[in-house]
Amino acid sequence: MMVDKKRHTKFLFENGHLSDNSIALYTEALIDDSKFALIPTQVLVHTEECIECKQHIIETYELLKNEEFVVHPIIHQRNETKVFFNLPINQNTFKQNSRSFQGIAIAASLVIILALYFFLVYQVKPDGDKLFIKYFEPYPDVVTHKGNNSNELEPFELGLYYYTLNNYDTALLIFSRILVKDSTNEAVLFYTAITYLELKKSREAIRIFKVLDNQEGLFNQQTRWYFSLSFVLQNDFKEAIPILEKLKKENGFYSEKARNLLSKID
Amino acid sequence: MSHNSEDTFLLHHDPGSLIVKYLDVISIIIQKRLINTGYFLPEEKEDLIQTVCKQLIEKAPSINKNYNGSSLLITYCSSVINNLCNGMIRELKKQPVAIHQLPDYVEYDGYIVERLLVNETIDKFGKIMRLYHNKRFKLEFCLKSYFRVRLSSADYEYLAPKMQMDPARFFEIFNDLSENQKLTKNEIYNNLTIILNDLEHVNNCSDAIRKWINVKIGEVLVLLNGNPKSSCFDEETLQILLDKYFSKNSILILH
Repeated sequence: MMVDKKRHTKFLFENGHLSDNSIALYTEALIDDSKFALIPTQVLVHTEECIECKQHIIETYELLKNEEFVVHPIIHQRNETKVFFNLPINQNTFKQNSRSFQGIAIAASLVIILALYFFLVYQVKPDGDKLFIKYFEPYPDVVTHKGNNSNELEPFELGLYYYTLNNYDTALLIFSRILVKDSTNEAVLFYTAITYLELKKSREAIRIFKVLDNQEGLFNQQTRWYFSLSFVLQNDFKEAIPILEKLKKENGFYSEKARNLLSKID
Repeated sequence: MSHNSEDTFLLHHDPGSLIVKYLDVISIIIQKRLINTGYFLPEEKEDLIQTVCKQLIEKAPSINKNYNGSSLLITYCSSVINNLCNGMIRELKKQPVAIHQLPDYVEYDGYIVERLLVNETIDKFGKIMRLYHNKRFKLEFCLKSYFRVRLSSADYEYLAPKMQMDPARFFEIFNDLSENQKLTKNEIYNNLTIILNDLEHVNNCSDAIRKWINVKIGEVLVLLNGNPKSSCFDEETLQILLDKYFSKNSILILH
């Protein structure tokens, strides 16, 4: 235990100031409040008094606060966060990981070879990118109240303002900021996913649509339609087909579109 | 496997690939820290990226050894890259040459820009306050009193049960600090000293409070202005910011 304690202290501080570990953890806590509980007391106490460390944390926070590669993984991991301070690096675990990776690599190679085989045998395949361009239209802003004469724009309305201007980078930035504070807001999640699709980031869009698709809400059919298009964009028709089939059976606004798209990929 | 596990795996086995994976991050940080601040020219960006990548490769063994997994590896590396950028600025002792790139939103109308900038600054101020952890209440209370921002009922509710002095006396001092706009600076220090001595069970003189407040205001200004300096906050503009911040956060979140 003594060794572990020494190790933790060493990793928390460096040359009398916070180490990069502590700076990074504090930065993430400023982005996602729930991580504050993970900050060790001695780090909190040191930061309280040390202007240099405060400066370092604020600098790092300013660099990363709007970057989705940090903001979104934190939101994604919120429920999976573990305290690592009591876990010294375990070489055995690492070797096990390494072995399991070899297994995964072999399995992945086999999958790739099989995929190549099927690709060569059945070369005629629809082009997901072209289909996506043909069928995708950004969902209109149905949230902003047009008759609102107030000069004050809510953050979400501001995001939608940029969304309708096709400035998706800024819209995404604003939506991300809202989601940091309210990660379950259905409308914000929906428009964030559409914005990702506009930016051709289908993987991120799918991650959000998966969450929305599992809950009853205002945008159920819309979610399914754009969810299927995300897979189409990835050329993953196998995943898109069951969603489209479901939409077709629902006899809603997207049924005809779903039937049409299915005929192109099925 | 999560992104972070993948990254950690690469750090152990193939740091070169990890750095290639992080190229976008490196590019963003260099743009924000070295180019947008005017220390380097945009045409130097590629060379700067190369330099940082080379230094990261050299640092890979120490990153591997020191990273403890408490944060995302990408955040940890961002802190390392930020340090490398700071080192470059220090080494060259360069002055900013120009502002090359204005924020993306300048093309939009004034109202939107103003609102975004104000919101960004209020957010930054809030994060700075969070860094004061246990001293946050004391600092916010002193700043409000010093800059004559009206104290909130939450302040009263937080303090009242902790006070050992006569409640009527406490109410009188609190009310004086909150409402009496004619108080001189010395009277403010005296009132704050009475409340804070009672709260912290100490026996400081009002001069100690005066010095503490001045030091903390200096700190907050340094943190708001950034290093290299990217804003020009002084006591006057800090007061405007405080008005906006506390009107937006009228209910204090105490930790």
